[in-house]
Amino acid sequence: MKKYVCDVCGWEYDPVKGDPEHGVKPGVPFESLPENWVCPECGVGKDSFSPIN
Amino acid sequence: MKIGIVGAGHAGIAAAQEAVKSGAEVTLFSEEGFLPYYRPRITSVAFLQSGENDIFMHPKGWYLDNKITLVLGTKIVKVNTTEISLTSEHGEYYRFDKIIIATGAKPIVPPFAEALVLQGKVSPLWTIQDALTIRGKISSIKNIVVVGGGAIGIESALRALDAGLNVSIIEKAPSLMIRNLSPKASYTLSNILKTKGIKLIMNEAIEEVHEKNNGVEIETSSGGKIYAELVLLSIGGAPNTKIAGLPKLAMERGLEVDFQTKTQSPNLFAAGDAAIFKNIQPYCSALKANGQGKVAGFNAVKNDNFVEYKPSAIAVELKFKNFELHSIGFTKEENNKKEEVIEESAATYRSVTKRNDDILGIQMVGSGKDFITYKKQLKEEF
Repeated sequence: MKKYVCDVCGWEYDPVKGDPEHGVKPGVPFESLPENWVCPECGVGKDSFSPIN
Repeated sequence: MKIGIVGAGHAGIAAAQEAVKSGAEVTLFSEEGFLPYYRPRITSVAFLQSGENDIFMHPKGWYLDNKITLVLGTKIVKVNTTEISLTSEHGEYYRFDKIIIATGAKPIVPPFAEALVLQGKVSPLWTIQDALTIRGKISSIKNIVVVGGGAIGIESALRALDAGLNVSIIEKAPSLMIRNLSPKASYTLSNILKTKGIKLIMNEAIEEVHEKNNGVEIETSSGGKIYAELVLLSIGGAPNTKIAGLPKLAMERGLEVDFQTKTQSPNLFAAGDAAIFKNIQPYCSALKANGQGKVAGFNAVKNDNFVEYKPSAIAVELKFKNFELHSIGFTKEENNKKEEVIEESAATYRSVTKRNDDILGIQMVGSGKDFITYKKQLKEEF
């Protein structure tokens, strides 16, 4: 499972950790996040994230 | 295919990433001497909440790995759209197949401040260099005045307060964040800031600024005087398009582009704060720059099957320690748009602005409760 980074603020989504504060359990791959999920730091949508290689 | 990108902010980086995906050879020019960084985070560097190394987008090696030639500390002064070439201020000459202008915006510095900026008593907070300069000063000063009560001014004020400074905001409009908040939301914001200990000087212009002791004394239109060792300018920016050879500038400022980010010159694209789209109100935004940069980087490599930039509603998010503010879309009441209050107290204001049943704007000050739930229902208009 790849990590993703917010293009705007640099916040990293780590699928191992999920985003429990916003109802995303650990283990959810970025691709499976709901379409309306937003960056917990700066509020931008999934389309403003890039995979980390 | 060789692509030259002028400017390595959010638009330039997004364009570079997209162009190399299609196999292009990219050269990315930055007049700054630093690796590209997340611009919304420079405020945290200025006031000690982040180190500068925390805000770089990628390590140096990433550019090599991605076959992006990063040319730092190099100002491009001339573009030739016939030869498809760029010339640096030192006379270096580069040729490409396509050029993308992503030079962003420059902070507005009013005439009264020009000499004082040079002395370091007045400073914009626009680049990582500005942030480092401010950081170098704050341990030896007590008072800071923020000129401009927009989103960045308010974030700076909150962070400066956290860094232990006495903070005042001077705003010439009658309310804070006038572009993003309704009068009622703005009133709650003012209350919160005052409670935290930030002094607000509203509805007043700056009449005079003169040097005093180690700082400056500002006289405002009511005759009031305020002293600070550092004045932070936060009154917005204007497109940075001082490059010879660009096609006609829209609104005398930015490069006019269509939704495919093409300028009037074939082979020349523009994205981010330097670009102006017809019928879209210009505003500086990293999110916007990122979206447009991707489109420019994709289209510059293609001969057909161009993609189009889809604008997004104007949005502001401020989160710092226990403070939270969200604003998106049309927040003010006008004609057929009505504000509907969800929650109102001394420290919290949440509302949606509707036209009939459509939510066109959301504003939340002091709490972000259910913001995402409302955002799902937002009808984005521009």
